[in-house]
Amino acid sequence: MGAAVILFEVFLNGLLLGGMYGLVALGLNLQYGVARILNLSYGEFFLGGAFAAFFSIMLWKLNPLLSLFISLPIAFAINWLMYQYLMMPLIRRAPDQDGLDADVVLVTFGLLFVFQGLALVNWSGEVRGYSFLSVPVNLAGATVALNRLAAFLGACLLALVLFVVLRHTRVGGALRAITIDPLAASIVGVDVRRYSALAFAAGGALAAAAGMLVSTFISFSATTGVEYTLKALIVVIMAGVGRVTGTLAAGLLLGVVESLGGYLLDPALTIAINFSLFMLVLLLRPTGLFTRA
Amino acid sequence: MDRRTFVRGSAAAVGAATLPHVPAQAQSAPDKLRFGYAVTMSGPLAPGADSTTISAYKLWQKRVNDAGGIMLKKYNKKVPIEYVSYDDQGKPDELLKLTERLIQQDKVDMVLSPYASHMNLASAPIINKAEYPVIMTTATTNKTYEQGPRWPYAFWNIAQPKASSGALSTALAELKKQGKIKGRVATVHPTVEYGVENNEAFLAAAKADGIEVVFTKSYPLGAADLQPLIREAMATNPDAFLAFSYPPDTFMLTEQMQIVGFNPSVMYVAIGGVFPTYKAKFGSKINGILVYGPADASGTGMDEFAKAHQGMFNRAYEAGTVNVYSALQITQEAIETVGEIDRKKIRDVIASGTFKTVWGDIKYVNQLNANPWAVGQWQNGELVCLFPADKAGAKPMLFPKPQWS
Amino acid sequence: MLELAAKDWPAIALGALAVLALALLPLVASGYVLSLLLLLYANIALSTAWAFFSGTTRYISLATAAFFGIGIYTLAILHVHVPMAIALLATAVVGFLVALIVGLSTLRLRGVYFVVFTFGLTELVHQVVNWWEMKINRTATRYIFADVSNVTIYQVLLALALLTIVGSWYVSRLRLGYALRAIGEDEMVARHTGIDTTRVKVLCFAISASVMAVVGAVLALRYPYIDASIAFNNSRSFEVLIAALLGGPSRPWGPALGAIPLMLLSEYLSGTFPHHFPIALGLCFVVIVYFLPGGIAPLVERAYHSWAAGRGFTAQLARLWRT
Repeated sequence: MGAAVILFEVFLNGLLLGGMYGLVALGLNLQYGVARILNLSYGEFFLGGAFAAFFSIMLWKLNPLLSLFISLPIAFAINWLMYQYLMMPLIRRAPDQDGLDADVVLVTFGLLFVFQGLALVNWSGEVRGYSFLSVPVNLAGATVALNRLAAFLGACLLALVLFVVLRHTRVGGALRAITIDPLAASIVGVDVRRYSALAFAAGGALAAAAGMLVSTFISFSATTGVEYTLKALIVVIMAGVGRVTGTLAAGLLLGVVESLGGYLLDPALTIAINFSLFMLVLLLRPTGLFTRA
Repeated sequence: MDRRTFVRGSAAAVGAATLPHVPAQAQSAPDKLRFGYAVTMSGPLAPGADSTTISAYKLWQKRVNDAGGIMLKKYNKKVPIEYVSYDDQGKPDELLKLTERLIQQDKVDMVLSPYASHMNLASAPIINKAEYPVIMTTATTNKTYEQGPRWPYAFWNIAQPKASSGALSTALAELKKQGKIKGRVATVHPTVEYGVENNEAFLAAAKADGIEVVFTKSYPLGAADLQPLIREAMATNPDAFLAFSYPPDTFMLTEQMQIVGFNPSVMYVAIGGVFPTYKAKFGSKINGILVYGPADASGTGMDEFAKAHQGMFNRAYEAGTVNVYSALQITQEAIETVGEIDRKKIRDVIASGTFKTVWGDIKYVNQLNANPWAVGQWQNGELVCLFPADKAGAKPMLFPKPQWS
Repeated sequence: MLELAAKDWPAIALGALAVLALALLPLVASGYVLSLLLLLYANIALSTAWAFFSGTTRYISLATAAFFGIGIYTLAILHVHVPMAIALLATAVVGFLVALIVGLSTLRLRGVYFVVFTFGLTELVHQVVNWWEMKINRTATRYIFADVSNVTIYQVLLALALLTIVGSWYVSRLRLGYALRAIGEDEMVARHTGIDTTRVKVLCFAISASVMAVVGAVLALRYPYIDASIAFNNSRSFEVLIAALLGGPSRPWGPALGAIPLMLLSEYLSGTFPHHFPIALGLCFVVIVYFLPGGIAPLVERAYHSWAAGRGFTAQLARLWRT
């Protein structure tokens, strides 16, 4: 294979990788950007989606996409309940956003432990993976995996849906208003609590969807949830809190730079490059790429 | 204390001193043997620890207790096993403290191995100082050669880097001699202790055996895409590809090599290659892949072991569990040979004996397992053991690795 | 500036007695108890150092693990060449300098952006150190050749914990302390009242980091060897944060009040529910947050004040003795 084609393939791989980063972060940006809850247990719902997909194909011999019919509603419901009954009391008593963040971090950290503990008790044992759409696709001479491509397309689709909802629907308008200023939003009649709960729950569902898609090409175990919460957090901050559609763009940038950088410099540095880029972006734009400071 | 108490106490003391000496046999046996362990039960290493180590501990306890317990000749009685267990959360600090807690606070009779190389190593000085013999079951690192001799009470059960990497190099040299391969090898490894040490050990062995390493690069543990790396390796046209990998990358490399159609005639993956879930994911495609640390059905009592494991956990056993279980069997046999809990004698029995276990015959030389199974291969859906080639039960290597169909 | 009234002296005397008792504990306590306590002292030192900067200025840092690990590596590299005391001193200096550089570069970051940046920093340092060791030294690990007894480590960490608490309390009474708190209240206003916020922030961030580095180095003396994943473990940053938040980050002795119950709770749960430890601990966190808003420190403070107020300290004590 010619050097140019390999480079092109590395670039494509980076794009797909970046799509995954963006996909994983979409839900968290909804939860933190709109509902203002920094949910450290976010990755556990990602993991729930992955396990549901795994059991779907390995146990019940069904297409893992079908598992979404179970994992999405469950993730949505649990997150909605979490917001209404666990987060609302904290929101009510918090003097300011910092105070709320402190309480929320403690509580969601505790929840993270609980969910991870439950996952360990029920589903421990070694890493799990399954083969789905694990076939090569030829794109102008470069080879990419169909499952990664599918996840990338899924990310684009979800980002597009979110974009349309946020820009062109009443619900979206309410969500954007809450993102900008919850107090002002409530003054103009937006039911902040209801829409925040909706955003939070939707964020959880997105996490499960991301988990399902990513599980088609990356193995996982009962404890990989935390990794994805942290991956998502990096992308959310890099894009800018509340910049939901910017999340995908930030992810893509990260993926491409990581992939090309690793290939051109040293594969051992891929994660270092990833974090370096993240930190560099913040130093240049302290409130994220897409936030008008 | 008042005068009455003092007099009563003295009388009792005098009385006790004049009683006839009671012989040892009439002493009552302990009603439980307490085994202590601190193993990772939460955090990233927990799933591996559960599958490899904790399931072996649980299974062994059940089977031993179902048979009545461990036979203590001294009291002519079988005594059941009770566990005192802690979660070290994957932190060396916690492990050090908890090991001390087991020994000094809980005063357990015996201590069992923790999980993971650095944890095994960390606890070695403590159990050695307290003179508790422990067979460490998940340590594979050069440090067992370098530091092992300082800790006579620590034994090391699995293949160390020189053994596993050396075996690979020898095998490749043999294939080269037979003209089956040109002797060009590409290696990759994660930038962690296991990966670095095994890679270095292989490079050294390859140099001595006349094998050309045309490509050797590393990747961070947790890398989300290894395809560019595989492409780079492929471009050097190697006939063997060795990955000293951890489970997530073992899975990922195998998948991505198929995607790009990289088909070396010899392929090796390390940790995780023996997992039933690896076989479940890739099915017949794993045929011919070499793996680290295999176990096969030829060990003593493997049939019953496999059935018991399936019965208790509703899943097939993983080779690492067999290794851990063998250590427990040796511990039990040593205790039964000595007849009581005399840890120094138990240590000496382990150090000098030969034991028949589910992982084959095991003997320790300078506390290192003399010839543990180091490299195996998936052949037609079954895991077979290849190296050490002179060990009873070793099978010939399937060469070349079949093309990804 | 620093006023100690006559009524404070009995409390201080009691405190000094307690410290003496702890220092002499190794004469009677088992290795396990010493290990438990020295880890506690390490956590107290870490969370107090953390709160010294993050509790006051409200710049929540997750870089604890980074400085902790830098301390470990500095020690690991130097201790084979220089005496231990020099190596430890160097650790403090290196931690200070690195934090100075980091602090100066992150001046424009606020809020959650600062938090996640510091987390990213820890990961980056982890990756770079790993890579460097492998590329340059062809190894992933370093041996620690230290023959330091557990007792010595215990006493050093006890001293460190005390020093950190006393130091934090002392600074809180100085202008520097007021400046820190002013920044936490409202940084813009603080700047307009003439406080050199840059100097205050960066200096205190660096002081806090240098303590963390030393704690890391001292703890590392117990391991046979270190590698980057042992040295730079993100969960440490979170634990320190949790302990400080639970205890009450705005008072010098707050984090200690969080670290102690957290350790005891952890130890108890580990023994009682070894296979369900995370579930049990997580539930405890959730419960604690709901029933103790603001952390434990305000609770203790209220209790102490209502107990000491109205009656003299010695009168209270006398009443206790008579019953």
